Amino acid sequence: MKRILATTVALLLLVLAGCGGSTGSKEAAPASSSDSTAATNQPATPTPEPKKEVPGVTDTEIVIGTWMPLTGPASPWGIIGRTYEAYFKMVNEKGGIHGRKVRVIIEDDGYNPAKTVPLVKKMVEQDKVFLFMGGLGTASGTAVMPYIVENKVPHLAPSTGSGHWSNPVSPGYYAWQINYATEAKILVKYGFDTLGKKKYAIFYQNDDYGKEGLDTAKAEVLKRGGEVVAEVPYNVTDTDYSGYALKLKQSGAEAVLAWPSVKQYASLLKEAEKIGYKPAWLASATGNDQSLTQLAGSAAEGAYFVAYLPDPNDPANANIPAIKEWRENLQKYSDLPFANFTLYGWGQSRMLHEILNRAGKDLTRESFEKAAQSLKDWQDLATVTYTADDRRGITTGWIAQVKNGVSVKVSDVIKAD
Amino acid sequence: MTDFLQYVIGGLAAGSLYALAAMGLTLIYKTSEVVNFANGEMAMLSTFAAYLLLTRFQAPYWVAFLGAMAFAALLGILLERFFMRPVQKANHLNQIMLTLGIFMLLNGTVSVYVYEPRAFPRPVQGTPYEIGGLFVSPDSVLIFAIATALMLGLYLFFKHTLAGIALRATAQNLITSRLMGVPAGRVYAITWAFAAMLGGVAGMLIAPTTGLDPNFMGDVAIKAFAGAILGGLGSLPGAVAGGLLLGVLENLIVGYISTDLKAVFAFSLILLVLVIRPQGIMGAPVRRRV
Amino acid sequence: MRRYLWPAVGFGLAAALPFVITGSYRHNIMALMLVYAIAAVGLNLLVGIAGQISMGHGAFMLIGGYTSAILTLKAGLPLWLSIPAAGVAAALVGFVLGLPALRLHGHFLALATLSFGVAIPQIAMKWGSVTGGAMGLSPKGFASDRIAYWTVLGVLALLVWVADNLLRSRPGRALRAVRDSEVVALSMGISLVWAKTSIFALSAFFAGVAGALGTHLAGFINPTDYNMLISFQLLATVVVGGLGSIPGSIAGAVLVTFLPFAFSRSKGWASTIEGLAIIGIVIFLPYGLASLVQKLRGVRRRAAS
Repeated sequence: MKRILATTVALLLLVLAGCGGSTGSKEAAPASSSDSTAATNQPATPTPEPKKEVPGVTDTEIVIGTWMPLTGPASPWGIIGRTYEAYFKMVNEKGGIHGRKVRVIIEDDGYNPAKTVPLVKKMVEQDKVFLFMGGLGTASGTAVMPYIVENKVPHLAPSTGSGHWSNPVSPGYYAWQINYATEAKILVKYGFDTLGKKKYAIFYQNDDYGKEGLDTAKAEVLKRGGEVVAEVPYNVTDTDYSGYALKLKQSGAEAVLAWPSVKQYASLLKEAEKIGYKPAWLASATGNDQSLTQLAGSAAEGAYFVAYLPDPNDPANANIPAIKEWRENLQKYSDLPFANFTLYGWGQSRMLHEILNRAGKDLTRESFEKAAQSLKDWQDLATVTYTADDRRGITTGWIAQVKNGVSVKVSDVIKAD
Repeated sequence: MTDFLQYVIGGLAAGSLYALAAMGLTLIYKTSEVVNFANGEMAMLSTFAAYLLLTRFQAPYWVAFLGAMAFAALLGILLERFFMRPVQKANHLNQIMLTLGIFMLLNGTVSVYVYEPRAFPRPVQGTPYEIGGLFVSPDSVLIFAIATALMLGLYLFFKHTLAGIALRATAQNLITSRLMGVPAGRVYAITWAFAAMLGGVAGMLIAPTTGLDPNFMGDVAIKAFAGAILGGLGSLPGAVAGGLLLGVLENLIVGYISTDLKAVFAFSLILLVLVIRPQGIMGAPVRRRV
Repeated sequence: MRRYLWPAVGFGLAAALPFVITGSYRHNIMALMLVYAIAAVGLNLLVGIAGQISMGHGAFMLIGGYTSAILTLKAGLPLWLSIPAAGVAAALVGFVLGLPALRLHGHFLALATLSFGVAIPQIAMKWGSVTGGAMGLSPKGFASDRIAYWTVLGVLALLVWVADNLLRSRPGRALRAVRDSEVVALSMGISLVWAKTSIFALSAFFAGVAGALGTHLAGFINPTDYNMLISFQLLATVVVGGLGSIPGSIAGAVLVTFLPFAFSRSKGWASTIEGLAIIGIVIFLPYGLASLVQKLRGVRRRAAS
């Protein structure tokens, strides 16, 4: 049983080494930091002008945090976070924001909520981040939301389109990506009003993302007097889609509403093409990016998608300031590719930049939120509005259709109710 | 009826891919009784090698194919020699864990550099054939043919050639076969090279359907394992039969029962088969030593 | 009772750790390490001592997690009731699964348990009315991370005591007989079915308790939480720690859980490093971390029995 002693010593050493090694910053006062509900503002020192210390903000620096899956099956999404680093490297080189440089901390949670929880606590307690931006993953985001709200840390633009972040409104939370319910409304509206389709099938990813789309889509179709003849879920890890395509064909649906991921959607489209099934394909924006037409080839022709960010491959969009800046700077400050995810991250970063600018030199969480709520139809990469009661961010989109391998805008901007 | 047959055809197409991957697993098992969980990732790496040749060097398909085979063989030999050889005498669970470690190593490393799925070309392009209302794509036919041909070839190799018998002997009894003059080291190296090449073939044929990214072989690897066991671990025809059967079964479940629970039903059916016939469809009856 | 001296010292030191290492996120991570230690010790009983295999043990953690979440959320049970209940639920499922599955051997058992590991998360996803489906459940957590750590430590100590007693008892020797040779065990009058199924159920109990503790630690559970990757990592933990060695499993769990956190800011190399660690230990320390201790003391003995 001396082994247990040795083991415990090993345990102690490992934990100490790990904690000591990965921080390198000074330890906060023990009493206040060991309680998970510790307030993050430190008490004001008694001076004639009480200047409150704001976590994550010094005269020279603003610290922001995020969590991303840098390892594991969701790792392709991780480059969204790395885009923030690239963007703020650029900003810092130009002098920062009101004289402060922005430091981005990215924690890898491997898309596992059990890991996200301690990592978020670390960023709040140890790094004292000013805010979170773009935390990725609906499950992980849901797990840490109570803690983040409790500690009054704002979370700007979570990198998911879940309705969770805006419905109900939570203090400090500002959604950005067009949410799945809004997409459903837009797609169904287009399907009925423009395409005249009444018989729908729904193809969706078997997780929180797909299910949110499914629920709203179904409700919308029925509300309009249409029919839902099939509901076909699939698992992200599936490799064979011939069965799903056949099932959709069998249902006789004239249009398929879809909440898929790109790779899998490409597989479905190819299989449907093989068996000669040609419904109107109406999908969430998440199902479309540059690689779709590469992966699906001719099968993607004519497919419709919700779009809320301008297509960077369309030459007409080359002069949009956000896209121009992205093209000129992304690869100057990183080795990231010109892909959907990096444009997305760039858009989020530009918005944060704008809000921090508007908040002014006297930067506190209150001034931050005030600045955020001053965005009214702010047009940058997308159009964003925030109010005290509406935190959905982007609520307008349009329909794009794949023509000759490129996504082309085919409708006017549609606003969700 | 047409629908039923279409599901079966789709299932055979998917099943051929599982069968290819299962053969690689079975091959390593046949000679060392180890289930190599890193097989899928080795295949992934070889497929990436082919991709590099295709895109960076603009090589034609057959050159990329040969290049991938060479790479796979080398990879297999290196992994066997430096990772598996040291633990040859350890118990099987340790060896299996080692393959798991290799899995994480390969997957983790590639994930750092690859961000999004890439398109990978099919070996044979072309519109699907239509026969009596049923659709079959030319590359599905090709894959099925390749899987069958490889299976026959390997089967004959193991049964009738001296080299094949030597390989089988090493699995049965390492010491005796060494005494008989079989160079065990070379045997293992060749086996791993071959299994890696089989995996590479599987990878290059699967990638056009799923897209190429670090995780594309993950699901296939599990199905390959299931198919190999269903068919009887250690039997090459069994691996193919098991893979095909699993593919068809899955598709039928999707068509007639449920899509999101297809894995649950598929695996339950496999287990049912195993409870009735523990050695798998074509496996040798399990003889346990006292 | 000499044999309790060192464990008492060990656990005592562990209990004092939160005063030395501060920061609630650190306590959270330490508690998570011990959660996996509990699951690993349980799995070790099955794999290291009884010589069976389970490739889907994460499923039992999921069952335990959901059971405790549902009992606390919908029935208002307190933790000290819901956690043992979670263990019992997992054990029952383990028993029912074990009866047919344990007739199979080696790779067939592996496939059976793997299938189970794949199936349970999918069922959890589908059974939305009970499990909250994809959105998951958010049960109440512990009062603080420090208290969470002490709770998990206490449960670990209790279960280690149970496991240790089992090893030294007649049933423990019976299990080892089953591992070494089933035929001989049979001839000695040991009931194979009873032995194998009950140890499977017991190891499921450990996993269920661990899953419940982990769920309340995070304050959240959803179907993707305890997936195949976790199941494989658990198995790797047992091997890395040393088959048959309880302290080894604890050390293994601490190491394997710790690695991703140590490298959580290193741009995605966490997986690679974990893989290298597993490879390294399997090659250089074939009997696991437990044998490291013996090597240091210069004694060459088998880690188990």
